[in-house]
Amino acid sequence: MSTRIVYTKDLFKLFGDVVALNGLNLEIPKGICGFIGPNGSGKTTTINILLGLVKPDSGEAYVFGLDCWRNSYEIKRRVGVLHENSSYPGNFSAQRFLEYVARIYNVDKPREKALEMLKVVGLYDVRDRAIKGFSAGMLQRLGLAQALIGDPELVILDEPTANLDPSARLMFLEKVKEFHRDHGVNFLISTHILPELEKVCSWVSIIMNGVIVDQGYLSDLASKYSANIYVVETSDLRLLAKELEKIDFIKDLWIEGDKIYCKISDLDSFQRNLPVVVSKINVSIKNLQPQYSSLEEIYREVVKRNEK
Amino acid sequence: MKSKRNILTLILWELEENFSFPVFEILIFVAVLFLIGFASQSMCPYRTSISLLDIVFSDYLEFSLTGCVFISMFFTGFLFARSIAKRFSNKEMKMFLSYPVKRRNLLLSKFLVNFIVLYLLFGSVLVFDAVLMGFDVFSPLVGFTLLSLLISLMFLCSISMVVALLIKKESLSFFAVFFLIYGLEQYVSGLKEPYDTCFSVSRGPMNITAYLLRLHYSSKVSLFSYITFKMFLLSLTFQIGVTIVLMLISFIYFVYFLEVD
Repeated sequence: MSTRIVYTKDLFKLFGDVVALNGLNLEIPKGICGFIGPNGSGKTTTINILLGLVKPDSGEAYVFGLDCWRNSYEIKRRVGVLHENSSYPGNFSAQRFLEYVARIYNVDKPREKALEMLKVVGLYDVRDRAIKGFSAGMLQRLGLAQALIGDPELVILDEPTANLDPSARLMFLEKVKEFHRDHGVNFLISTHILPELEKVCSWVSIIMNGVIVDQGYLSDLASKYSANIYVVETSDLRLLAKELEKIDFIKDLWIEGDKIYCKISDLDSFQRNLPVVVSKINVSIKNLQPQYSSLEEIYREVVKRNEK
Repeated sequence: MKSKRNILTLILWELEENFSFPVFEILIFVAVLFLIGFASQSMCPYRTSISLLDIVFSDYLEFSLTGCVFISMFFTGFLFARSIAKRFSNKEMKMFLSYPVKRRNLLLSKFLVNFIVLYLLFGSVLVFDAVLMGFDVFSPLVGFTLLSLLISLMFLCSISMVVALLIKKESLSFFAVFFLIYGLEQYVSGLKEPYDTCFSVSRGPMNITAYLLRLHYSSKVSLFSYITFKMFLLSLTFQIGVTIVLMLISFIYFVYFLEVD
């Protein structure tokens, strides 16, 4: 994959007797990418290795083609990060804190940049308030602001929506989408909240027990792990449903609204025989498409297959 | 150029964060209390009964210098526990290390800020005390005393830094520093060989100053005639040697081996 920005090969990491990473082969392309897996599967350890905070026992890890341990300083210049349960200097005001972070990233006008970021994340009105008085949602927004202030090419978010209520979660992910769309910032998001991740990400890597069990574009994974359900829209719903019910490879069939849902056992036979049936009863097909599984369903299916 | 600007930012950040209200205010308060204590000591009536020079030299070094070093023992432990150990336990260190900062610059900024603030504070106390005792602030006595304070504070800061880095828990780090230095002090003061007191934390700087003063004033300072060259050398090499070794350990560990999970 030529556009990958993160790449690891056979990454191993032990903490005492605990195997945190067991030959991890991760690939992350440009875009908004999800990094999902059960608790303790090695997500945070992987992120820590990518940032040069933890040294792998063996294997290779690269961000932008740079070795993560040897070139961590260069990588961090191009990467913003929001860690899980991050802590910020409580006595600082939000503006003061962001000004310092901007200076560390050598931003030209740190004050102006801090104010701009505060506006973007919706904390401008509380810019002078001490951080220790912030709510969980405000802290996450501040975390996003400090991750974005250095105009990074990649932002790593570790459980960014864990402590947020549903509306705050949606708002947070909207900001992520907006930054990707307007500024071309790439995101790597590690989270447990899959329905919301699904709305923003294009690529997903699934980790279990320190190993990547599957990864790919969401659409590819959806067809790979889908339950083989096709949705048909037709001019005569009842007539077509009645004919399709007679076919062996259609295991189940039901009507919802103006659509027929067919659970099939043999895709090739279905694609071959449908035109024959349609022409026989003289109805037209308005739309035919597979019903993609949700990210949650894909994740459950991957976990189930890998637990066996 | 960028690196210098970076370290300056880190120094300012550390200064603003670690000495926010009420830490700096408490430090000033203690220093002022100390100063008042010295002033009342220097006005005791008995001091005219023996050689004035002996008394003021003796009091200045005995009370002011050793007192400052002794009280610094608490503050270095406390400040480094706050500045380093606490940042590990509340995950702020992880955030810092995720920014584009060189690890050596980060540690250096923490060391410099705590060291400079303590030195300026207790150095000022010593200078004020010298003024109260009627000394010229530019005299060799004050100069050597400030030099000894500098060496002793570096020694205390290096111990506090390595302990905070290894323990990574605020209160535990503070008590470890205190008991380590106080234990060393107690152990050394119980030794029979007189020059063994050179190893003592509080006697060390006094030995250095007293020896240098004796060299400077020749026979005038009779009270310090027992300070031998061997004691001076031991004091100096022990404090500077330990400081260098601990600083090296701290920096090598922090830059090359520390993993933040």
